[in-house]
Amino acid sequence: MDAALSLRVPLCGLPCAEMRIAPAPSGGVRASGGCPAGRVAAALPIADEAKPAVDGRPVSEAQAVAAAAALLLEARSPFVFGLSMSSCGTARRAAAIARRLGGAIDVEGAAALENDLVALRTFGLASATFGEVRHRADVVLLWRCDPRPDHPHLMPPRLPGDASAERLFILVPLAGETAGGAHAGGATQMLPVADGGDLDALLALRALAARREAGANVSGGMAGGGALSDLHRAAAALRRARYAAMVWDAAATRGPAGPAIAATLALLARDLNVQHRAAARPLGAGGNVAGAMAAILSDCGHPRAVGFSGGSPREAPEAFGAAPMLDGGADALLLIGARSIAVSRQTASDGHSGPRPTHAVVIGPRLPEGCSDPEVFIPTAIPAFSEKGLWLLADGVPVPMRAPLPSTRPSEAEVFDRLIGRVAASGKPASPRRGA
Amino acid sequence: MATPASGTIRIRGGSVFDPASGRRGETGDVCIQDGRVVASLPSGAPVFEARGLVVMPGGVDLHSHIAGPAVQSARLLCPEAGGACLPTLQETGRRYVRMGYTTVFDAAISPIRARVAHTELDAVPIVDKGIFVLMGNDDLALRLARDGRLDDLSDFMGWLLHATRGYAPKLVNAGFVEAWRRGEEEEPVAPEELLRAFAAAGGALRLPHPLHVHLSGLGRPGNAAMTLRQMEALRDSRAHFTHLQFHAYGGRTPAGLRSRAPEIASWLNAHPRATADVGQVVFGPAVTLSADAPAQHRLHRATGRKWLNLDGESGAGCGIVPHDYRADRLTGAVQWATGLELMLLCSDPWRMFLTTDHPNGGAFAAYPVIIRMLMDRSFREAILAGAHPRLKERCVLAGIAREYTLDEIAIVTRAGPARALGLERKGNLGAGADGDVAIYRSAGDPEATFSEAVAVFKDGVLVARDGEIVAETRGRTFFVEPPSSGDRARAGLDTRLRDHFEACGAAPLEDFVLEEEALARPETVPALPAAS
Repeated sequence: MDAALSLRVPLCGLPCAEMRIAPAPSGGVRASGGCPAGRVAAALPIADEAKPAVDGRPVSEAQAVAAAAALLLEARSPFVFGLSMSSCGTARRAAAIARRLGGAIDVEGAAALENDLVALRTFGLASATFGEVRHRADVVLLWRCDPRPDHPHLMPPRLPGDASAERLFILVPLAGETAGGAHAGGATQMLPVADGGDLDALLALRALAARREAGANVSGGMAGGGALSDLHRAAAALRRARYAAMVWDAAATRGPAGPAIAATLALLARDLNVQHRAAARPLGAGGNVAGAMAAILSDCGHPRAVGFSGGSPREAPEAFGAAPMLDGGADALLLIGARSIAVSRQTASDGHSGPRPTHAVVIGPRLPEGCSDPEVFIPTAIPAFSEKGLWLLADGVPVPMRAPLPSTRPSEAEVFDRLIGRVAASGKPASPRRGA
Repeated sequence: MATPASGTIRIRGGSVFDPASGRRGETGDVCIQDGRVVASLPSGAPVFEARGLVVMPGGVDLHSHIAGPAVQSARLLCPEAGGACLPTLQETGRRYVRMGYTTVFDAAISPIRARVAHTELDAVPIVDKGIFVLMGNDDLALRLARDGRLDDLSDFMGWLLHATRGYAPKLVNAGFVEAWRRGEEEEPVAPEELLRAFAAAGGALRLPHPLHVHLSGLGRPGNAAMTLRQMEALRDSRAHFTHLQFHAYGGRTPAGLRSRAPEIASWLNAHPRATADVGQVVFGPAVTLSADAPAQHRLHRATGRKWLNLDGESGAGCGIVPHDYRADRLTGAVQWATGLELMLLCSDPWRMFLTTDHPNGGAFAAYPVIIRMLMDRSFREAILAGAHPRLKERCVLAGIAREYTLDEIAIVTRAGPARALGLERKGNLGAGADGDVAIYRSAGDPEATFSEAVAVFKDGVLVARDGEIVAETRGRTFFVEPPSSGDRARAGLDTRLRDHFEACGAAPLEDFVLEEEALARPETVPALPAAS
């Protein structure tokens, strides 16, 4: 890259402002604009000089692909992981190879959405795209998140097209914060909730919004550390809303109470739809996690943590999720578009790292954190920057990544096609597809 | 997916049903050269022996939901539905092909998600496909329709089809979905007026398939009166009315639900410009998904089943609710009978087609059993006898003697839909047609016959044999380039479009417009001649 470029690469998974990237004096890339998550992703070091390698020795790409295929075919329990920074097309190819190998596949970051998914499957979800929330929501409940400072255009203080319509934000600040994003502008009604008090406060809020007694969750005028008077005020605002939105990020539904918190947020939106309109909108897990999960879902019938070893694809996070597979469940890893395997392994074992899988193949622009010496490394172009492809925002809206930067490397998709061809040529039968 | 190959084959000595050319089972050959049907082939051409078998054009499903955000969301919401109701993309193509279907249209794609829908459809193997684009609740379209600015509306509709690589405009409960989103009960303009405006504007585009209309009142007791009013509003227009079964009820409450199919069928019989599909219900679990979000909300409230709603840009979105159609419950039983009555009372099979509105009325894999119901009166009467005891009071099915012939089945499953879609190369075996051929056993029960084709040729290539997929080719994506989608429309609309899409925070206009290169195997279907 010789000069600065403006590009729209919503690496945060949200509708994001344009980012400007320019060559850095160090030889890397300096990013401005966009949002912090996007700038971090854009500024990650890219080893331009990296060549395909097997056991650390430079080889041709064809040799690296052959070595990767051999390694994966020999594995008893291969695991395909990553895809959070890859295109939907790459994710579809990854699912195909996992199926062919009889292994398992998971998406980096998807575990953080598991509780939301459990709630959705149990109760459903009245939801909306970010564009609809921006366009219609006159009251927005921000539960333990505030995307406004980093994404000011996501939910501006006034409804687009109606300068007189001020949007009301009800902000449950992050644990330990009191002011949250009040500086982000717009009318903000604070609703402090104690750390760990989310479920009680939400249950009370839902009850009050439905004009029921807050009931058993109230003690001393508080519910979950939230003042009942604040909860009453918030409930009244939600009831009055023509179109209310509930927004939260993955951290808000983490932990044992996570499914219940996600369910209560969803049920609050469902209740409000009886009188007016309301939508619950999780912010997702960033990158192209939504796109990767969608690609795997349409290919396998399941969005994540899918194993093919029993014939038909089976979704089982406890067996095929990143945590158990990276913590010893897999004997070979195929890492593609993964940012880190260290985090997932720590998540797996509460800080205790299990035995490292025997083998690792990395396909992507860089080595993921926690995997510095893979058996096979096939460097690729950088998805979104120098590899075109389709990504999905967290609300499922597609974004074509134009890839304005040149690259001399192959794309992830091209490498995958060659690898799939090599694996298919081995004669190992593909696992049957679901319903086949 | 393998590169599409076009094959050369003589399908010899079969009993050929090709309604478009009047062949009703006469023994003969079907010759395919380089993927297209030809009059004859040299004697040395490869042969598929079809003696004793039934030969038909490949099936054409003109209303199904197989890809896009609604189907994806349904997969997320209802993992318990599994592969039966919501097969994966690959399995969808394979199941259609095993039954002898070779062309499928996804009937409701929101404009902003057309890009991802096309990507998914490209992953559906073998079958040719296309999408209908939701536009009946788009804010800009509604404003133009209400104001009677039909030229502008026409330009906008044409531009939307161009931008999304769509095949036909789709209206879903026009105006009312957007009103529901605003929290209002009623759209300010009468639905009949809106329908007329969209029909007039769409007519100017000379599309091969006209306005594809999902009327108001989906699933509501007593909706037949509204259906008749709205169809009457389009009596002088080309229009396709979809899943009419869900719009053909009498009664005031669910408990009072009854069929008014005879009146709907009578209207259709009297109006030869209209076409329709049935949206037949089959007993068993289903997943209902529809861009008619308020109707889906009502279903959720009525049944208590879980509900997923996704409001999206352009007034498009979806509501999803799992459902069970049960013979022992009056509502489901009436719905089942209503669909069959429509099929049996519409006198012209060229204008009433077999669909289940997959997966709403049931899975498309149920087509064979529905075919048996149509062809075998005793079979459907046995089901009627086992259904809810009050069903017979609520419908006239018991008195209908008609049994479909194989020729009529060929019309309602391929020749008719192909003609309604304006696909000249589909649904027939005349010279120049695509070499899409389904070969079935000629004896035995129709359900078994149509469940598994003996052989299926796609573009002259054998792709299925005795229920096994033997080759996976890549199907085409059909789309239209309306005459007004060019510079004139673009110049006039550009500012408003930019405002429309960017102001609502959806996407830059450049991201919204789908370039033809984004489709794996695109094929433009031309507009109709000006005189049409």
